[in-house]
Amino acid sequence: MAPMGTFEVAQDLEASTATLGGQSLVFHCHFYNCALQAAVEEALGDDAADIQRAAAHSVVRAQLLALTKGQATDARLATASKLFAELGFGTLDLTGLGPRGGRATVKASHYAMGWVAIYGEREAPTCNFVEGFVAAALGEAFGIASERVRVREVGCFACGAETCDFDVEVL
Amino acid sequence: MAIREQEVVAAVAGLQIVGNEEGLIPAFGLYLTRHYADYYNRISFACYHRAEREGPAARDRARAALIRAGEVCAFNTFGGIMLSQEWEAVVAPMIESREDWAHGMVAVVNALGWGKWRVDRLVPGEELAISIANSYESTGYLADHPERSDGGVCFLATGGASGIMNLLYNGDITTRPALTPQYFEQVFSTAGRFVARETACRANGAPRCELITTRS
Repeated sequence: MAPMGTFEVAQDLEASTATLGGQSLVFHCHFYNCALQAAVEEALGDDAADIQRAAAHSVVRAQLLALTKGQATDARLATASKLFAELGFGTLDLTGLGPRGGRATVKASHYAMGWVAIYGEREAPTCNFVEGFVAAALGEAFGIASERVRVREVGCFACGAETCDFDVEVL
Repeated sequence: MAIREQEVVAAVAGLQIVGNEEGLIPAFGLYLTRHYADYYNRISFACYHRAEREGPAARDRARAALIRAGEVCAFNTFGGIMLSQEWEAVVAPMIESREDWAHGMVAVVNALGWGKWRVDRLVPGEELAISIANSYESTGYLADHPERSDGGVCFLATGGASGIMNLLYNGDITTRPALTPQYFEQVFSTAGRFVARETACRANGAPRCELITTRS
């Protein structure tokens, strides 16, 4: 096991794999992350955001289920924030969330800053991955079914905002 | 071969690559993430499956776009690594030939969590054959979908393989060029550039994923 800040990633040097909380982790840079998002948006159009949210939600929720076992609600949210930062996605503030939703904020969003650095500002928010991450964190912390959590980015650094802000609704 | 792969893998895997106080991972002149393999897999395969339903032309466009994202990755990540202090400290002392740059890069790839890459054949300036025992793309595909009858799914790996050859034999990473958009176009878009094809894929039932890179 190799320490990754707070978390311990299981590295198999023979197989060249790394896993944390049952999820395979791979290193990739902002150029690839943004290029892949651009390719997916080009191919899927308006559906791209939903597909990225759903993909993020599926992997993050499964991982948080493993990593937060036995933790209280506040600790689960704190674990999600720590995980987000240690994986390199930015600084995620989930303290504005409760069982009925609320507001989450990201400073230094990897996706938004990466997008601006490569392509410049854009009209639509870019942090669809983060929307899925936040939905998973809230659902896991409060035991809410995935389909009842809706997260939308309402301000994005890639659109000119100072921070990336997410409205979180529980249906 | 001069590259001692196990030493390289151990050295890179031992680096503390983790988010800083801003939650960012600046390294090799890039911002890294330690990301979810199945996030990449699910968005890529959703894209590819839809294109397949739309027909051969859409399928080919989607494949090309996903591989292009892999080439962008190779140019910036592999290029950034080969220009880094870490490369100078760990890999450069083992290098005796231009071909060792390719072997060294594959050794570094084997510390990125992408599965076990192996150089099966490298003909200087002409051909690179790489096979992968457990690419994260084929592993993710088989976990989520039935085996395919044809068509490999290792788009990132395909772009990565061509990237190694283009950086070494179409451009010249050994001269430490600036990794600008103009240089990317020069190296990856000119006639005679290297193109990789996935000739076998575990998603089709093959024992290993195989990538052949030759000049276009």
